[in-house]
Amino acid sequence: MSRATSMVWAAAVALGSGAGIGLGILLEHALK
Amino acid sequence: MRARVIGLPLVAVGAAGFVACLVSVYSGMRDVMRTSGGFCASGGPYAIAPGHQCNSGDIRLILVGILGGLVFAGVVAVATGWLEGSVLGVSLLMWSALFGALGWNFLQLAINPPKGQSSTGGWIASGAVFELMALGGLIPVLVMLAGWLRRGGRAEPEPTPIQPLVKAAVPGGLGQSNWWSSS
Repeated sequence: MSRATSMVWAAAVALGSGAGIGLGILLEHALK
Repeated sequence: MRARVIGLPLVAVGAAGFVACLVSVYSGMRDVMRTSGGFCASGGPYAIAPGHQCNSGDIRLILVGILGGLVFAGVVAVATGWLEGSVLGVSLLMWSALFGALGWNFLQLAINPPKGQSSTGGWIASGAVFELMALGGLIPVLVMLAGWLRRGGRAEPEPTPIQPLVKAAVPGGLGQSNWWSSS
């Protein structure tokens, strides 16, 4: 993986994880 | 190029799904620890102690969290592999996140136990083991990251092939014919 791709990969993981926390809280309210 | 266009959004979707499922497991586990002392049961032929009947919401949270987490972890690993990234690195990172978060649940609720919880020694032991397992994944990831930074973001060099120490001397005649084709 090139350096530029690695940077975008890390950004995608960080963005996805951030969104995942919000989604998880929504999921918790939906399933509980 | 196609790998980047599809793989990078797939990594983001996989990471979002994995973290959402982790939050789901985390809150389901926390709820069981708060309301039932850390264990519950439902169904089956045995009489379940009062206060330890499983809440259907917690069952849903934990089941969706575990199964969904496995699927999304697979999505992240496959997409990272497609991008020629470190599948081992990202898998260890997810391992650390899982055990770190659940270990934190054990330790935090052991320090601030819910009402009616008498002994929390088991939670401290479980929390310590979970955090050690998380560290076991995190330390290699940090080592890999340090190596990547030292190389200036370049890929790891291919290992040089090992030359054999002993070479067999094959007689000339044996090289041309085989035992199954005697001509």
